[in-house]
Amino acid sequence: MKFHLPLVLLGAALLTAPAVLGQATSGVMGFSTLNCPTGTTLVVPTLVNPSVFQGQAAISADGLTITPTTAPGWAAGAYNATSFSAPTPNYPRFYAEVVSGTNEGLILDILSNSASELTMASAVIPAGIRGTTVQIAIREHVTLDKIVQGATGLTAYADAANLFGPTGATITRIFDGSSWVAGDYTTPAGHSVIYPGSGFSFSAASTVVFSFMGEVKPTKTKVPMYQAGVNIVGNLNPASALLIYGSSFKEALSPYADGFNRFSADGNMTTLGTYFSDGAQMLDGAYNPLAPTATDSVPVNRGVVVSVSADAVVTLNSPLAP
Amino acid sequence: MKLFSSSVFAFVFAYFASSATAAVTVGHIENGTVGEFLTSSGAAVAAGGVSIGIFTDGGGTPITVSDSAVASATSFADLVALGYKDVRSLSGATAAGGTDWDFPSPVSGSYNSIAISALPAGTQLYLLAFNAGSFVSGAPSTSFAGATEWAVIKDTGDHLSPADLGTKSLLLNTVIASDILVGADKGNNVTMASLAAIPEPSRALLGLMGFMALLARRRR
Repeated sequence: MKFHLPLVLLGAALLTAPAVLGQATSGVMGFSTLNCPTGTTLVVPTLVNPSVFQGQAAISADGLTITPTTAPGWAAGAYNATSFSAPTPNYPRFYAEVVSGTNEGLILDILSNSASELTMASAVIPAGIRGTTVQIAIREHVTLDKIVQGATGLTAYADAANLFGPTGATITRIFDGSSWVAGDYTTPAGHSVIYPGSGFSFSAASTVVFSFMGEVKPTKTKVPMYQAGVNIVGNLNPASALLIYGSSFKEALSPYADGFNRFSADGNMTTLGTYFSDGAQMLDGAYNPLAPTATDSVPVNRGVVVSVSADAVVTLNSPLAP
Repeated sequence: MKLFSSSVFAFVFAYFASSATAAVTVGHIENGTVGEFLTSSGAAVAAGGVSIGIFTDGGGTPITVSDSAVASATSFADLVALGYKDVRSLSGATAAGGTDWDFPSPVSGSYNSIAISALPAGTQLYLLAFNAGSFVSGAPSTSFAGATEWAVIKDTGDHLSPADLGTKSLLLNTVIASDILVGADKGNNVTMASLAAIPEPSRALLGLMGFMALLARRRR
């Protein structure tokens, strides 16, 4: 028994009831809590929204559109990105994810959709996937508003989240009592997106308990890590921590050059360990190989901060298919 | 009233936003894969150690120091006088277990929990190596006593301090010849150069002039 999903799972019922025109399935639903003491916590939600579509789809040669091989009969605009007027920021609301093959786990933001086609937010990368047919699932993004559903202990205008962009920009979001606003304290921003396997820095005025609900991700997840960014990365397993020894970071990190820090969960963000890779195995802060018995881990619903010397991707396994 | 409320919110938020800032990690390793410091003759370094640091003003703010000023130092104390601070002297710096930046090899390890306020993101880090002595945290200017060779790396493309919470691993295989202020590029390795007072051209010229004058006088 390699894997346990004990109490966190509401049910292991692999429901095959169609959600949309017989093309979506719901998987293993989960529930997971995270205690954030006063201070700062790195939060990485471990559950995703259920898929609303699954099927084979062709990616155009320019990488800008994805067309299911069987007409999906979507409602036009159902997956459109937000289109608020300035200064309210806009985000994609849904993403298509490649769920099998060598690109399994690739997350592709959707800009808009017609009844039969998705238009992507940008040409899909890697370029090699363009012009191919892949199996995809469509999911709604997890947002800050979704994250605070069921949370307790939040303090309006005191609790805040810092999200980090690919360029290193810090994006501040402040809890306003029911949703989130931008750093100006007025612009709505509860629809800010948290990508699968990525997270944010959360500052709590007093203890906050998040209660995450959603689907246990059944497939791999590719998490981009940016050279210029602060990369908060965590595992998508709502039941158990990710052991650093043997983790896929060993292949994702440039040998000796890239590394990550693990922090305390007491709100003080004390550095508990630094980790590197030699390309084949994980190393500790002194660049010595971690022992197979090392218990160093990335805790559930929390993250580590990864620094990379060039943009990179770490592929995290599904807890359902480790 | 609205202004007051905003001020209160701003104050409260500023407090918690500041608590979000933490610290960074700086690491260094030498081996056959990523390169090593060698003596000027290309041999393994038997003694001394490595220093990673920045230049700051009296208040701890990073400053820019000319390459020529750095390269003309004749001791670690000269660097300290220019404002050099080893990262081990920065607030919060804590060695990861097993860290050893002293020769002989293996040289490897990292210092974490360095306050981001002491090492702001993007600060130019210098990687130094000396062939004698070691870093003295209580009296930095006495560090690396007895060194006769050294090397100075200023890798402007890669050796920059990380963003908050991040890690920077300083390696020698990213270094190119133009990054080496003192020493020489030998593939992935860097060889040291002499750490000794080099006469300034004007002094040399004065000496030569004096010698010529002496010769002229003897002829008369």
